[in-house]
Amino acid sequence: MQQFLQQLWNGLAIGSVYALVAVGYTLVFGVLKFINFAHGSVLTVGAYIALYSVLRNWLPFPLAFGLSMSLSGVFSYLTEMYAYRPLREKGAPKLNLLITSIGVSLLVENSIVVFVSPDFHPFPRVLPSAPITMAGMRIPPVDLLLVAVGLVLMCSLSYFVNRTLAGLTIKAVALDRDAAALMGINTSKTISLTFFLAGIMASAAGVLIGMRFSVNPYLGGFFGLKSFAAAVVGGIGSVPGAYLGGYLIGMLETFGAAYISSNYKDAIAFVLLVFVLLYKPSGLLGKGTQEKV
Amino acid sequence: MMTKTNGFVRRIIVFALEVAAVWVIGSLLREVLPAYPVGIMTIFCINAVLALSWNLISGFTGQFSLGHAGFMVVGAYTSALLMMKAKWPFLPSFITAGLLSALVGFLVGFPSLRLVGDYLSVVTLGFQYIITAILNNTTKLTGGGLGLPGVPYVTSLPVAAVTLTITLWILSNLVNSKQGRCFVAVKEDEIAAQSVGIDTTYYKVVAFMISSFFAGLGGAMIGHYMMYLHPDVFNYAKTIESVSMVILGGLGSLTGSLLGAMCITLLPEVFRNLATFLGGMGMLGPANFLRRGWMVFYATGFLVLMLTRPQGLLGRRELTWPGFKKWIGRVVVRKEARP
Amino acid sequence: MLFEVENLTIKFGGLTAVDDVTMNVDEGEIVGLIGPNGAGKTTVFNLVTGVYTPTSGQIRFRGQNLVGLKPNQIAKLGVVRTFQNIRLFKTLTVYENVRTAGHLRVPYRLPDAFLHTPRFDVCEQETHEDALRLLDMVGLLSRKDEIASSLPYGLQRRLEIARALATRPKLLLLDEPAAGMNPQECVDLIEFIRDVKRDFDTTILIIEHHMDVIMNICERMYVLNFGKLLAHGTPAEIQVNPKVIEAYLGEAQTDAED
Repeated sequence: MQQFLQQLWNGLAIGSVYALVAVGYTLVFGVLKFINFAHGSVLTVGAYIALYSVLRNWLPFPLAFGLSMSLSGVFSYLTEMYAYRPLREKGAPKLNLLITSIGVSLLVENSIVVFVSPDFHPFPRVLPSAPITMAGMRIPPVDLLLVAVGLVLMCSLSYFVNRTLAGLTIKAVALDRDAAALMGINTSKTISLTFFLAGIMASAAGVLIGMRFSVNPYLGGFFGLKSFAAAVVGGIGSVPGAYLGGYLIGMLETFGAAYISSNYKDAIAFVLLVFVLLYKPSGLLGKGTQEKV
Repeated sequence: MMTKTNGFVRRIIVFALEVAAVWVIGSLLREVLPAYPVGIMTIFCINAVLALSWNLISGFTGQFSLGHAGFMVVGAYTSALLMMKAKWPFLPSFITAGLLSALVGFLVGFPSLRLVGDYLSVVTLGFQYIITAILNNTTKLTGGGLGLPGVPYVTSLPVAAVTLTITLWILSNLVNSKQGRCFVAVKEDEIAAQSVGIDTTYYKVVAFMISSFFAGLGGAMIGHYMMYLHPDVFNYAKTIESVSMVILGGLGSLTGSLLGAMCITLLPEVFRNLATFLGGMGMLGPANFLRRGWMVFYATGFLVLMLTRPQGLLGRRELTWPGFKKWIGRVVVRKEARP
Repeated sequence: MLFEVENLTIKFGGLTAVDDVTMNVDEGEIVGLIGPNGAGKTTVFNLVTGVYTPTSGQIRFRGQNLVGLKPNQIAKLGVVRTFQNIRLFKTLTVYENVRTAGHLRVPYRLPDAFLHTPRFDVCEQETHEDALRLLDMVGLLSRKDEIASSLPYGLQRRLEIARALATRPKLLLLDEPAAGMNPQECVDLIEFIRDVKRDFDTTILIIEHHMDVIMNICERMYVLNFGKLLAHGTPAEIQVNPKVIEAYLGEAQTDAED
């Protein structure tokens, strides 16, 4: 029982990371209908910004965290502005957007390897490392932060998307970009906003995951991909779906590792992905679409 | 009918002569040239096979697969293990490697090719991670995460060059056939393709299997060249390498893939030599940067290409002898036309 | 009876797009399917060609049930369509569009394609010649190497019909072939459709808004309104049917105004 609770907690912690990143995929897919392979890179960039701000003693940790989130948001916005928007305006096929996003992620990853360092950096200690014992579970403080930050950000995002005018424009553009434009929504601005929000969420995940494990150039590629699986499992385009998918994959991974075999931990997300796509291609909470003939 | 048969026999003979010539030239070059250029040429041949195979599924059939490395690794381990553990000779091991990759291609493709566009790329990528996880955990058979040393060396320049020649021949025959046209129709418009009776699922699966077959051969060649295998050699970056070759050359152009493979194979070498040269001149700073800087150059080039010339160098065109002659003719005429 | 539809119904959520439609087409006929916008005409085509699966009802072609078959299987049986919003293989040439569609009549298999066997040569020569013959018939031979999407609108429609003909359909479904055409082009089209019927010995079911086209070439027609069959008969009968005048011709007049 104790072990079960412990695993439940671990799953929740890692699931928060997936959920935070997955929601970015879902938002961007909603408005542009393409998988932004560079979304994981935003996570890496965020982790490095926080790492260096703290490492060089530029800023205290909470400020560094905030700075990382806002700069990553801007970075995400810039990738859209300079990489995807020109293609979109040319009316390029969607495949080109996807390939370009692969190019962006390649550039970010390789630039970090070349200009920063290819090494794994442990995050400086900003929180006590001794685990807190609670109900028989041993919980590292960073996990508490992870779950709490995750919850706060996810609730805020849901509130923003569902209850504010700017957020509702995202939903409108996702439903039908042309119709939204006809209704007077500035779709370009909405798309920029979407990328900015996605960047903020990913960066928070990046900083926290960097604290929990270590910061390295491949952080985003690795967590990004699994988070994408989470977004698809939950139903791409659906914000609650992304959260559900994230926590689900986090849980399955930790329980799979604990009770089946830890060797296949990294494959679990994809096995789940394949099964979900086979039985419900639109994902758990997604709505099906059919091409109009 | 008689003349048709003769045409076929003539083509086969010409092709056999080509293969023989490639073998002889490859063997000669191997004797004459130093190991370094021979190595680069060998790697080019392997890369070209991988690029061609990815081009078939993604460039011609329009199914953006990101699991290519997954099929390479199946081929690599199959051929290596058959030779090492089952003591099979090279050729049957090699072909079995391709066939097993094709079988895996079928198993992966059949369910996932129902998915459209971006989903497919993620499922195939996920599949590659699953394969890697399996290989990492079957330590008894494959050495797992420790790697598999002692893979017999077979991929000499003539072997790689002949494999490339055969691959190119078969694939160019294929794309210039009913099946090849159906592949392109699937890419162009699935609904329209179905409306004229093209079984899109069938052709997608077939393209996927053939692509996997050649990816498996390419992977096997890598193993028999490096004489060592590790699951992590065949990662996402390896797939992206083939992807960039095809995109550089042009999605849907076979000769484009050759061109792309050549550029991408040479790129790190050019930087490495430049770095050595600068190092020799005493400019250690720039030299050190260049040694790794090609990666940034590569990524920047990739992006610039997508933003400015997404159809690649050749687009869907092919480089052919008549086309080349025409081009030369035009250039000459243009020059003469000048006063 | 070549082609029969019985009690065909499809519901999308709460909307019944096609409601209990029964119709038939006999060998060698040209039959019209008309109705105001949104009456469910294209949906009938989508049901017949397997793009949608009907909620209930039967579709039979030469006595064989088409319900549940995939679009490509239906095309293989000889029921081939064109699309209201033209779906060509856009970046391929005119010739390649027609040649690709000829694949159904090419019997060779993968090994022949790999090796370009003698059988391959024979079949390829045939489809090549057939494609050229078809392009000649539809008057596109001189433009065979142009990219399909660069053709003028009217010719794209012709090309789409030629592509369908390359499969040698027994029943050809034309979805608004005259859309966007001027009166002269319409006259040409009428001629063209008659030629097609004669030369290819095919039966045609046609959706069309242009009354002059449909009244000219159809022997019989069905009128749909709100997914339901409103009337059926010869052009002369339909023109004087009060229900049709009320539902359809009234709207056609407003159509003509804009």
